Amino acid sequence: MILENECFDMGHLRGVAPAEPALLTEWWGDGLIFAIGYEARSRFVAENFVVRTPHLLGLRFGTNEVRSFPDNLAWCESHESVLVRMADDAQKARVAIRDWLVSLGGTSGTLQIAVDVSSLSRLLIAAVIAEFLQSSLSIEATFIYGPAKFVPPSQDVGPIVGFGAVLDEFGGITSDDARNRLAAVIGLGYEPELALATQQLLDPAETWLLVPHGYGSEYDKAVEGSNEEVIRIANQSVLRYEVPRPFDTFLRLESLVEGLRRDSNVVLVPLGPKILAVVMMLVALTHSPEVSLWRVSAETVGEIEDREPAGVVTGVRAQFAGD
Amino acid sequence: MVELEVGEVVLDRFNARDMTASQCATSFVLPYEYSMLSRGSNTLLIGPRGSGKTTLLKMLTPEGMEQWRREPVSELRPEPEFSGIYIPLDVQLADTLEKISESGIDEGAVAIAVESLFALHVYRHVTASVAWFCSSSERHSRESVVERTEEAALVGELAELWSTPVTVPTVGTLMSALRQRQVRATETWRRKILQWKFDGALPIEDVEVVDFDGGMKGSIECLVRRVSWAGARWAVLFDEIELAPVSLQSQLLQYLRQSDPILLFKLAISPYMDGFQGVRERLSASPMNDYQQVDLSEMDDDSMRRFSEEYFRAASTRRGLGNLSLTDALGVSILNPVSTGRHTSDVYRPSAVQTRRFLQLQRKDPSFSQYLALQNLNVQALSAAGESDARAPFRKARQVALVRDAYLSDMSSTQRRIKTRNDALRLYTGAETIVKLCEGNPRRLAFIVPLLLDSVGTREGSVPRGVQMASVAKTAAAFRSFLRGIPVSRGLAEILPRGVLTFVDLLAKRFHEELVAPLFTDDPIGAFTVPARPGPLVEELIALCVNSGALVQLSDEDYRGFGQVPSRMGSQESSRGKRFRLTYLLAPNAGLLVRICRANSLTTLLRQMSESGTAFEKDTARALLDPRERMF
Repeated sequence: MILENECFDMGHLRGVAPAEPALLTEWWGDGLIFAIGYEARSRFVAENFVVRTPHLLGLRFGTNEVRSFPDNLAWCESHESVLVRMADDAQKARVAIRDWLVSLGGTSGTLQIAVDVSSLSRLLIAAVIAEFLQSSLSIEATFIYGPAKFVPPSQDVGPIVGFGAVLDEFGGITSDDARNRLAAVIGLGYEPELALATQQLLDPAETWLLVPHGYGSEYDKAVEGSNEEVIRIANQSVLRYEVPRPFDTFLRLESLVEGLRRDSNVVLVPLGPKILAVVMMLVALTHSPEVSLWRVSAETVGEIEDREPAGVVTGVRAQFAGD
Repeated sequence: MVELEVGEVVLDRFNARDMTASQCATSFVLPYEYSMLSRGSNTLLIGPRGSGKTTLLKMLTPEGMEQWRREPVSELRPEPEFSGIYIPLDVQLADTLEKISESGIDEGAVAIAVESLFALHVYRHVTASVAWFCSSSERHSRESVVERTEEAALVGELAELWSTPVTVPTVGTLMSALRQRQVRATETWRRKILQWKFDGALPIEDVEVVDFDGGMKGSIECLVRRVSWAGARWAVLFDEIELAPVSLQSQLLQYLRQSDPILLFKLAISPYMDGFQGVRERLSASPMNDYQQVDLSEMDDDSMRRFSEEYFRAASTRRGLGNLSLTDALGVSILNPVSTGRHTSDVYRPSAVQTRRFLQLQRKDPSFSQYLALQNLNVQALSAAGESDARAPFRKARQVALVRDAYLSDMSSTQRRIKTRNDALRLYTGAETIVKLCEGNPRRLAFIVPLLLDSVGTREGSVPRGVQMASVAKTAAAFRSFLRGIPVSRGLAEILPRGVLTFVDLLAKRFHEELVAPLFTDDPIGAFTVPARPGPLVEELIALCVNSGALVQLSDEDYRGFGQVPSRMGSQESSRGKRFRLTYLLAPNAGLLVRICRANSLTTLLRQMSESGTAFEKDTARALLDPRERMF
């Protein structure tokens, strides 16, 4: 399944590989984890996968249960194969995921699990990956991302209320050679000012920006418009990546981080599309414990908007070794 | 010599944290505080972000001193009365310790975990300091190193002291072994805490307990014996203590009271630090007795000017532009005209920019015209008055008049004059004003000086006003972005949509309104006093603002409880009763003065905003006011 010339071997994280091109129509597996969010798109993948897997785990946040949330919840409750669990903090999410994996663990061999990250928070994405890492089961995970149809951002980013390693497993330890020199790799989203504020807060010796492309010029313009200042200032330290090609992004980012690690401690901050969060977490694990992954937690200001799925998905696979 | 590359990313230009002590030394500009730090006494070094704490500490290490001795400097170089071991608290360790502290596990377990992990971190940095004296190390002294056999003996001694066996007794293997130990210990604690979260069990019988105090002091004794040429006294230099958990902050502050013939402690902190609360009593003796306090916010104007000038000269020399004078390169400021160097013409002369602006304001602002009449002032006669007392009333009103002129449209004209931002921004150029905007903060100088030097013209090495305006705007914008990103508590997050930046912008707007109010005043409000019983949100806000440099504390006229001559600022437990102004770097964006102004009570300012501001200002002000103060 994972070809040697396409994957990285990283201990408990056994390897990373591209996902099947026709994910929506050709993936079959043991289970799907997804978020029961307030956007219509949060059940898009689940709706397509419900016939392809006997076990679905829907994680409910307990907040912002508006817009399409009631419809999403109703859909879940109308399908016996969907197990709904509260995940309003990382601990509850981990317990839910762990119990669910144990319930699936009766099968021999490697579990095939899909994770729809489109509406999951970065904290819960980290919780999922952390549980896969520590599980005694061998798991082949396909992380799926489905963008929404473009809608101009109506919400502003509020004050930052948290800034630190997304989970303990993604905290780092300084290397001997780094002498406390910090390099930051920051993904850009279209939240205005957030990337620049993040960079100023970390105050690194070197900054790289990851700019997403590939899902339409409207998205590209919105991201570049919101980050005009920081992109201009970062000058050549900008890596444009294709959102529909996360495995390519993994390879490029891993190479960048490998270079930065030689003389810096590296902090990754995944603003922007959630699939980048997955890629960054996999890269951080590749170089664990020296590379850490941090989350910026900010309040949002303004109306919550519902968003429809764009109808396409992309993904990346990772294999977790188990015991 | 380390050079900043042309075109280097502006945002990444300077942070002493990322530089070795040798690199710091190549660009070190000597401030007067260095001689105080060099003394053989425990020291508390206080300063907001970017004020130069890290650089100063690194310059107390043998590596820093050695490189500095090679640099051509004109002034006398004070030598520290000890050898320093620099120990920073990196962001990753700080985050790990914070997560452990907030995990909810038993306090005793937290204490063990925090102390053990910090101890291993300290041991690593002690070893890094030792590595400077070892030829086996990639970067080592060119003056004095230990023989290989001596290195082996020293490493063997440290390894035994720290219970960290090494296969080959070199500093490199000791560093690796300590790091592996730290990784194992960190992962062990993370697993244990995770297990506790899942099943409530926290068995710690098998965890390693590392003795921080004994291990640190024992290692210094080793160094005294084995590296005798480095001196009989050593100082442990703890940096960024404010990042540590409160329990660790308190523990480290206690070292200031210790008296040891061979070991000193120097701690660098932000002005407001939670760990200082309650510690003052235990420290009991005033700073004049057990330890000294060095406050980097206390730089007077002359020192600030000298430091900035030196910094600019050193930077221009490194760029191959010659020994440029900041004053000559940037010219006279409109807001703060100090006639020095080649710019000695009278700023009050009839053709001067300042005079033209005064006359302009006199024409368009009846209240200013009335003020002049009441004061019996004739703008056009000020030049002839020379430096006499005739100018004195006008000195007080000068800046107000200039800012007011920049922002007020011509009310009497039938044609509406559009005020461009450049009209106002031009006020914040010139040497003296840019020095004030930077407030002697090395981080700000490191940001703005390269921008200025990028465009030094060939004509007498001057920086065009347009470049100065752009540089000021960019520096101010970067600072505002930083303020925007400072994490705040949930309580403050509910009130302030842009965090600290919302608060300073509210104040700035209020102060600006004073300047452009219908009636001219030569004594506008431009500072505030915190009430005697500030609420917790206000305390948190002030602490964040001071530590980030957004607020500057003004002279504390209440000496009760000190008994000695107090420092102007000093380490703080509370902001109650203190007086603050906004940093001058916020002035260009908001149209404020670049001088100290009269203060009003913060409560009064908030009350005024709660009654007469915009809807947002009213809501925000009411939320910040203590419930007992709020008026309905």
